[in-house]
Amino acid sequence: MAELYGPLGLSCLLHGIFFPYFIAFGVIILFLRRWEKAAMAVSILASSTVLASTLMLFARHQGLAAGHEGVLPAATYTLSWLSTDSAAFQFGYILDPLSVLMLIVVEVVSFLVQVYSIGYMHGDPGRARFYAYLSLFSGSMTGLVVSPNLLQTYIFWELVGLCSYLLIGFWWHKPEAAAAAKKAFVMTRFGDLGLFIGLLMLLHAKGNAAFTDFGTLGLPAGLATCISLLIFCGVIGKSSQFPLHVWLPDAMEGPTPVSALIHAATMVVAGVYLLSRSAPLFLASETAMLVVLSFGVVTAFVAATMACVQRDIKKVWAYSTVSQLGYMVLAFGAGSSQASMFHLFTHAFYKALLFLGAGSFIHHAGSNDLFEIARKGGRGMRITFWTTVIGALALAGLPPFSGFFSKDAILVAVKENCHPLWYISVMFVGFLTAYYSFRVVFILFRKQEAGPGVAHGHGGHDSPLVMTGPLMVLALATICVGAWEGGFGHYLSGAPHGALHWDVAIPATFLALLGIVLAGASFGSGGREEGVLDRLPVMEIPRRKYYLDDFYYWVTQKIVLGFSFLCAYVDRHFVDGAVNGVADTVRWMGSQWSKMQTGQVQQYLNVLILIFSILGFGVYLTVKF
Amino acid sequence: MSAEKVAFFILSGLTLGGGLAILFSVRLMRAVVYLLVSLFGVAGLYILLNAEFLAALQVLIYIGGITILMVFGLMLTGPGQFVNPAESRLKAVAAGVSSLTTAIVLLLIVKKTKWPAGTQALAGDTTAEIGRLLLTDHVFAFEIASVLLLVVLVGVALFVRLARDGGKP
Amino acid sequence: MITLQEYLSVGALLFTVGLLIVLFRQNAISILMGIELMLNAANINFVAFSNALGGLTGQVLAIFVVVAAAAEAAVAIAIIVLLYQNLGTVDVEKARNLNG
Repeated sequence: MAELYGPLGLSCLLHGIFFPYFIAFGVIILFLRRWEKAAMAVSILASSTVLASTLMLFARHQGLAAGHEGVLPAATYTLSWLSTDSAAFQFGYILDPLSVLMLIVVEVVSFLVQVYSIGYMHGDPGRARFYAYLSLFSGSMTGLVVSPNLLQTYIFWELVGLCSYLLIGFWWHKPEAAAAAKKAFVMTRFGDLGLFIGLLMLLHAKGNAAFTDFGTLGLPAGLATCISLLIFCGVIGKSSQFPLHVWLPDAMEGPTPVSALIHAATMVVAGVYLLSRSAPLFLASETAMLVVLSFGVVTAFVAATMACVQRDIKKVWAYSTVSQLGYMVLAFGAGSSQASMFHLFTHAFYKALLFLGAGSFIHHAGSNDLFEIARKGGRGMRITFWTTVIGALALAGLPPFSGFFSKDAILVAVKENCHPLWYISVMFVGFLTAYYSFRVVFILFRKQEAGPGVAHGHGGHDSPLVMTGPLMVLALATICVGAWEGGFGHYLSGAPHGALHWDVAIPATFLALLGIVLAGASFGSGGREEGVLDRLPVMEIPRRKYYLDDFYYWVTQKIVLGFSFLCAYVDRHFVDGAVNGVADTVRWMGSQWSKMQTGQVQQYLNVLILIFSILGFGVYLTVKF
Repeated sequence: MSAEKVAFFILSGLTLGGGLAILFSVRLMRAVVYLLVSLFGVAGLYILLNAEFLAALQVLIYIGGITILMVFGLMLTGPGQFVNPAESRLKAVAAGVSSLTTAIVLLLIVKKTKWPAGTQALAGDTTAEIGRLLLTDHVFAFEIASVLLLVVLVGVALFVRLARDGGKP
Repeated sequence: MITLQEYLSVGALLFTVGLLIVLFRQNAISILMGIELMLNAANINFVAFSNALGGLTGQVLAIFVVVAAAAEAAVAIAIIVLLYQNLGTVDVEKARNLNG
């Protein structure tokens, strides 16, 4: 294996990918908090270094793969970090097609988002802090991607969670942002607890959590299922699967570039990445796979319906992200880790595109509301608008955009491996996806209204080039990436992927077109704010977010608080009574004993000598001389 | 009874008697003189024990140094303090009881333990041998002792300055 | 011929006398004298052992005790003088700042 990868060239590139972000974070947070321009420059410099290293790594690695029969084996570069009798921990890098592909997603989107933020965060007083957090996040995400074992993954998993918390609450003076940050942290923590227990069980059982050993663990079936499901708990939290998905829409309180980077393209797909990493573990257990599949389908469906009724553009894309994450998870559950990763790959680009486009609209209109953006002339922002259309086409799954190919792969996997009911559900979700994405497009396409808000006359001006540039790059990626499906499949799994399955692609495209037509009929003309779907009484359920927030509220308010009141009562009257009683007794005894403290050293000495002599007498009596 | 025995009893008597005289003397200046007597007795005992160098040391340091230091201390602490104040009876009883117990226990242990019998005569010039030991086997303790003396010198100088400044550091 | 036991008994008694002074007398300088007597008692024991066992280590140790005693006496006198400066007395019962 080592001779295949060469002596040190690739590991040097990995250093160049792993360290710059952390260095940038340290430099900014220690020295450059006052110098915003310098902070931005440092961060973007780090980002470009990492991007260049990543692309070089990819080129070399793919070159190796092209000349290699089958899939390239994974190479690990590790240092022994901590070893005990029962467990050994390594710290280092893993290099295989999976991590390289994920690195491309992370570093490309990170770089574009950092460039975009120059424009978006223009004039914000906390820019240096923002770039510091972005660097820390990108570094942690890189660390997560290259980690060769579950323990290192867990460490960076928590670090990206921390960065997510910091960045959602970046505008901490807004109470909603602070609350959303807290919610995201707590909700993901529920899942992380499961992941942690799974990690501990794995370490207890095998003393080793290296991903390369997952295929040969030889665990008993019950234990394998248990550990898989616990790891999946972490995925539910991090990749915001039903029923813990509620934190992701709220996380939109953060700055939009953050939403694009963390809550669309990278951090939330860490769960899917972890699934692919631990695929051998999951494949060993049919129960676990079925659970993964059902959670994925439910999430995809529930989130898609909720996306249909949102007025806030970022919330539409947030629910859409949840839904697409459901797609990835269900693809994994259907047994095709490759389809899951390919959808992750395409989705990262077009969803980042949609979010950055939304940010551009918001930056221009000063509002998140779709109808408000339309009124202020969203249509006039040509580059932003048309790149958004490209993103929406990809999201809806129309050929030849990237989403079409990845969804096709997923549908094929579901059709081949699962019950038809699942297939029909996923098809229906595809219809909903097309509907809600084009609902946004048609609303935005409405004519600008004359009104007090438009009087400044900046309608028709687009955002600056630092913002539209990344949009165009991402749009280009969205158009092109789909065509690379065959190469992707060969690179990732060694086997060339088959041609398109027309029996799946044609009905899917037809349903997507149907969704677009429905959206066009509802929102294409006239100033209505409600479409056909919105008038259905059943849509009240997604509008109320499936009552999940109400349920969580009820649980925390009634059950947790009720129990807390009980505890508080017991604490106040029984526990405190006992504690105070003990304290009072001790204090009384102390006040009595303190009378012995006369301050006369001679008395102390007298007592001491007396006791010593008595002890000496005891020695005299007992010890045999 | 040999002459050695007679000398031992006289010297022990001087030592212990001097100690008891300190205990019962009311005037402190006399107590210092009794201390002198007691320390002379100890020096005599050293000679009986073939430790001539230590006896000389005892006379030089204790009698020539420490007792004089005590006299200076008495002088510096004012004219009113030359007389011991009357002690309370309770305190006397308490001190007597614990001292008596200690004495009994110590004597019992001394009596019960099987000590090596007889003496092993030390040959020749012990003074030269002590000097050699101090600078070879015990040189570390020797150096520590010199550091201790230096620290005491500096510390006492500091105390004196504090005293001059009215006790405030 | 004087046995080791007799020397040790003298040492024990001298120690007890010093202890009695330390416990009984109120004057700080008297207490200092008591302490000196106790140290001398220890020295008698050292030298007696040295004589009985035929080594000089006991005497060397006694020398160190003498050095320590001299140092202690110097510091103690300094403390007593300071006490007198602060409290106007050397009566240890008047120095009762440790009173609880």
